[in-house]
Amino acid sequence: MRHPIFVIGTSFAALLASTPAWPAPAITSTTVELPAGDALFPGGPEADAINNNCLVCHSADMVLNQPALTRSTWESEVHKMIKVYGAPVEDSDVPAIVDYLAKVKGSGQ
Amino acid sequence: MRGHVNQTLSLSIGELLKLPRVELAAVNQCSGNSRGFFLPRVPGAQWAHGAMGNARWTGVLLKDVLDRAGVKPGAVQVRFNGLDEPVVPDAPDFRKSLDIDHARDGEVMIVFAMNGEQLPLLNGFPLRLIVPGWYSTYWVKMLSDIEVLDRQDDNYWMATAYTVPDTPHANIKPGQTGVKMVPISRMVPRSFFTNISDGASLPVGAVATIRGIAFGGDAGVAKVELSMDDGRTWQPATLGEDHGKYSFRRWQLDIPQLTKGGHSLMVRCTNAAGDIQPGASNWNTSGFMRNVVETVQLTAI
Ligand code: HEC
Repeated sequence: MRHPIFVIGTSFAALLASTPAWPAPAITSTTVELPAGDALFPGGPEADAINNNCLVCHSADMVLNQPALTRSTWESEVHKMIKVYGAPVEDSDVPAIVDYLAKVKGSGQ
Repeated sequence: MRGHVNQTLSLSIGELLKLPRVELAAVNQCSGNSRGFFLPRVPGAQWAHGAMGNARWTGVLLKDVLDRAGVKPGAVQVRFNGLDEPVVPDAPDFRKSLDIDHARDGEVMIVFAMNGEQLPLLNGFPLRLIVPGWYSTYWVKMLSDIEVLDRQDDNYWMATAYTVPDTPHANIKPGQTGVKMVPISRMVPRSFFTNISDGASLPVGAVATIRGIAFGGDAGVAKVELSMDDGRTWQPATLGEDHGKYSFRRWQLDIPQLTKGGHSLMVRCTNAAGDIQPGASNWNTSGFMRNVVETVQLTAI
């Protein structure tokens, strides 16, 4: 995910002679360097489980910008990631992830 | 293009560029735009009002492309897929579907240009579906595959994700269960202040021109009105240039001289179908379809 994405396009300007009323769209190859987004969840060892399991698909920021949620909402979020989006998370890591989220982004309920 | 069609068809970008061109200004808005204002708060990207944009889209009609493959009688929906793939193999690939009549309505487009230039990568280069008046979850990026179905699409991104309560304004009470859910669809009217923000101060006695933008959702902007008495009476704003029924439309209004103290200012849009922004916020678990009347508090000093 850290490498640039290459997108292949071609220039079709020549094909547009039949529709002179329209300017030729220049559809050309493009290279995009996406920002790395390699920030970790803060908290040292307490954050190990979440750092090992929750950074493959989206940034730590996306999770840390969530509102304060109840422990049971965090629990179902973690299970949703595993069941629905196929997050490869060891069962034994789940409690530590939920504990971290309930502590850092918990509503105290 | 494949599925319930007379002939499976593969079109190059070059061939697509030779089809009759269409151009349309249209608002692209996330289903969860303004989710961060939901109370109680809900998980998901915590957007303020910024998950929307308005652009001039150039491309071809989906209808023309479907006609090339020839839709067979009995077609029910058309499903769209893009070049993006899930990070892990078992995860549901992002695909969206439209009813066949909608797909052939002569408005849904496959576009290759945004504001006169090729689509930037993050906007869906090289081709993107445009579904005017509908939330951007349907505006599939990097479009590569069109599949005509002879049944209702039951894939995760249609049947489970991006669904809303089948109630007025997709509104339920927090904690309410047993609600019928349906795929999100048309956008609803919205209006915003652009030259004044909540908590602003103005000099007493000043004459102020208040400005903003509005859009009607799936119908044009019929009117934009402001209220300075908590919604008891409304004054029509002057509408700016009309770029078509799916576009943002600017508005402005000179408000009377303000007396010292606090004032509230509300704005609401009514669309051409008669839909009007509600005075109370809606709520649902996904934070979708917010379109409550916007209010700013001003202080004259
Ligand atoms: C396999 C990819 C993947 C992994 C790994 C993953 N997620 Fe997600 N996550 C997603 C997707 C896809 C979404 C939905 C994005 C959307 O709808 O815009 C999402 C959304 C979220 C959201 C927003 C709320 C929601 O339900 O949409 C939160 C919070 C979240 N993830 C937390 C986590 C946590 C905590 C972990 C680690 C246990 C994790 N994610 C691991 C794919 C993943």
